Amino acid sequence: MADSIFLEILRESAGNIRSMKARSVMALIGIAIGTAAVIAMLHVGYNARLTALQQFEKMGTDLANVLPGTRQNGFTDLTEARLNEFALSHASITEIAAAIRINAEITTLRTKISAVGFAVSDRFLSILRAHLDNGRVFSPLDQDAPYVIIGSKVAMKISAGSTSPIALGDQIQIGDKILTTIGVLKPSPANLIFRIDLDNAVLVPIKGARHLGVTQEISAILVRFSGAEDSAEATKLIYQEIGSEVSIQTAQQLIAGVEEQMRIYSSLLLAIGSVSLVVGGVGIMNVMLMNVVERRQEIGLRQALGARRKDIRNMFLIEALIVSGIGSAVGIVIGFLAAWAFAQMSGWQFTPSPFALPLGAFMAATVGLFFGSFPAMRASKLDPVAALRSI
Amino acid sequence: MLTLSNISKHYQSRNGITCVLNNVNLHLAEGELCALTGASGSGKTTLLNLTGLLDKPTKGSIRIGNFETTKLSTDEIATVRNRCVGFVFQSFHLLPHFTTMQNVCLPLMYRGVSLSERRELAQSALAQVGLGELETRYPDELSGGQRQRVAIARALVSKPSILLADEPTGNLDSRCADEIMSLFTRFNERDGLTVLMVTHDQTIAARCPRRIVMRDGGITDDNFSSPHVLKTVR
Repeated sequence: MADSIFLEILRESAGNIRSMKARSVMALIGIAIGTAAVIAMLHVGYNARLTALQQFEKMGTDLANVLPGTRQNGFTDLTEARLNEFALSHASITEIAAAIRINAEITTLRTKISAVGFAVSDRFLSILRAHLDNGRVFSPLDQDAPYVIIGSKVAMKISAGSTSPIALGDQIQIGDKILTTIGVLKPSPANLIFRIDLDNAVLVPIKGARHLGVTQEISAILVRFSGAEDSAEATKLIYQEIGSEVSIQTAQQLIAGVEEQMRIYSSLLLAIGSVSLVVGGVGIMNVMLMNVVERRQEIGLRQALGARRKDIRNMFLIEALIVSGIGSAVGIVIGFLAAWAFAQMSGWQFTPSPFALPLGAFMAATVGLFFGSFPAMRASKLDPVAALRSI
Repeated sequence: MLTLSNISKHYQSRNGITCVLNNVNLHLAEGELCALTGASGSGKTTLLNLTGLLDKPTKGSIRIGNFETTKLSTDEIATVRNRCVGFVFQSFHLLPHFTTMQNVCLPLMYRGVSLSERRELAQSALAQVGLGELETRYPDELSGGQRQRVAIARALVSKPSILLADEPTGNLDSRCADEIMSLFTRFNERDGLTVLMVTHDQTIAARCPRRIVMRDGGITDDNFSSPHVLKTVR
């Protein structure tokens, strides 16, 4: 019987929604805005994380960037041959490449183009998963030949600065050296681990670094492990081989960094969400308290007709829950649309966060129950005689 | 049916304790139609509220039907009220956003009666007060007399043991008052409904077989306090 009375009260309260007053609508809007803010940020955060992780997935999660760190004299004592030998002797390391970073200024007929130059060993492009649009990669046979591979944007700039588009075999001037183009790269996204933007780079063989007027000192070592799970083992090996002072940055560390950022972002979200919840909730409490005062006679009458305290309490609680429920539902939709629009503007692929619906429902229930409780308790404790007498 | 034994009611006020009812004893047998009269402030409405279990006496006990109500919890009292007592108020107390039918259904909802059964019972109650056609109207579309009849239908729909009416004709003209009074007498005579009615109107009171007069928180006159009634009390 008790359940059926609860259901009856639920049905009655739901039916009363049509007679909702303007102030209830205002409270509803408050909840809707609060929920929309939280839900929108939840979707945006989720999609930002997905986009970042997708980038890592494209690059591969089995990468590491080894920098000299506090190692004395940097990598001056390391040679390409020694690194190759190191990779060959350990199963957990698939590929290794050395790179020397240099500034490159390309002179064309009409203008000068600033680019980032790298003198790289053979496996460099393979580790970066970069592909050629045209031409070939460096081979061990090239030795210190004055060859260059150019990034897609650099190629475009050179073509724009010359009379004809750049072609294989064309000679370009970098600094005061003349180099022969043997390949042009396809556009590729910037690599977050090695912080290399290949599109704006020119590459020469490591043995030909002197053509660009620099020393042979390796500035970074690029490593690909045989699997992401081998990274701990491989990291240990690198420390043993090259020295514990080097700084190793793995893709997994960066992913962990992204995750950590997202965790901070989530905390921020929670804080903002809590504030909007409290603001919306106080609005609901205010409206419900006014309702209780306004409906004192009705409460007294219902008590006279046999409503128990919990029936009165449930009636007001359900009404608060309905207001917060509708508010949250509207907020979830607005939040979804706002995040979708944001994703479209940012060029992201939009994937709705699976937490949005449960979080929205949880917010509605929390706000309704928490802020509806006090007015509902107050209503249920009214003295029927005093309530009936009030005008 | 109804027994009030040694009922006192005191209120705490700014000037100290006010005694509204002082040691009142009253017994109503089943099927009685009783008018409760007296000057303002004599304690009539307080006595009616106590009888309807809307308030608790400071002292004394109230028995309705088989229920000794003194020791019942608030929720149990609500249930007894729902099952045994029907209320009719001077100002009707109909919910404005509910139709006539929904207003009459209300007490049955708190009894857990299904919607279809509620409608059936409410229809029959409305037909009995002569408003069978107006079940979809809202209170503001009804006249005063019609509103009070809806209130009576609402009080009777749960088939209470006793009907308590607080100046039911106070807001009505004499013709409507007469009609309402006729309804009470009809239900009393035909169905044996017990009615306790507070009224200021002497013509209404004159139509009740039993008349109780109150003054200063006590019963000063009761035309039915004959030996056989007292015997029933014991």
